[in-house]
Amino acid sequence: MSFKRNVFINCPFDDAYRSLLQPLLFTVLYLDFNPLISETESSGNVRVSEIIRRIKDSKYAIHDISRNEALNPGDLPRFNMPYEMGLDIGCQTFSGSEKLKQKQCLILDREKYRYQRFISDIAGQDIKDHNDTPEILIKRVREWFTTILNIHLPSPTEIWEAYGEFWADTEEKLKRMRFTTDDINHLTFSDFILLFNEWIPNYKAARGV
Amino acid sequence: MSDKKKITKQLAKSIGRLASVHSNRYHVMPRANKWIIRRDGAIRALGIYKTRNEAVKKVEDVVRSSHGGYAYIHGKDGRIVEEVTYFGD
Repeated sequence: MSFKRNVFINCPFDDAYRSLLQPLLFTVLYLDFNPLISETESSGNVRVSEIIRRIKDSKYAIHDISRNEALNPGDLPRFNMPYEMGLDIGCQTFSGSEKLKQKQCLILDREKYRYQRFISDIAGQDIKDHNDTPEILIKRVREWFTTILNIHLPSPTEIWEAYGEFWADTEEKLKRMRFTTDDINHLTFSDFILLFNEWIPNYKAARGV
Repeated sequence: MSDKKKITKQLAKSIGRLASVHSNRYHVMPRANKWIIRRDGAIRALGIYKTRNEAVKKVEDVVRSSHGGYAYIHGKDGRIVEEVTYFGD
């Protein structure tokens, strides 16, 4: 996939964020873009260099900073998402390459102005809230692509319903193939990208969309 | 817990193919703020209901009159919350 269709996805990969990351990946693919996430790479590579490679390979990026907080009381907050967001914005700002200067990013948080309490420097960027709700997250991502591309895209309702249809079609097939609920709940995000990539074109063709 | 299962490209391909519309499997699922019953592989709904409970009550009639089969009750996020087997009338 080319630079112009790649979207760098910067978000947590833990179980708590799964209910948002799955519809996010689905939406990016449904809109005919290619998500690049760190989870897909082998652990043999140095993580930061792989992140930088993905940032440079992607015209677009989606950064979710809604989880930059301590997992447990007394722990330090997680800084990976803001750090990678900084790398992405820096790449666009300081690069001498005309291609990289075209980069654009969407910043997601769970509440509208929460970022002002801990990272107010990003105030001029495109920051949208999702309220930890998958349907709203899909709406924000679709709205953002519509705005920056200035073209007609499938509605958020169509994408959300397609996502539900994906589960309706796929989950019971997986269970017939002897995947347990626990197996399904622990599929990797690269597994989901494979499944979405096969299912979405067939779904769209069947509906003539 | 079983060893983590992975999805291969081949497996994803077979799962991605839409089901035969002659399947004896039915889904109760959300659509446009209502709940529908649809047959596995079908695009159109067999019925549209205000609440999931209404659709769940109806799907038993639908499956039994189709010589039996399975009903999958989905949550708002599309995930299966209940699977029911019905025998034919």
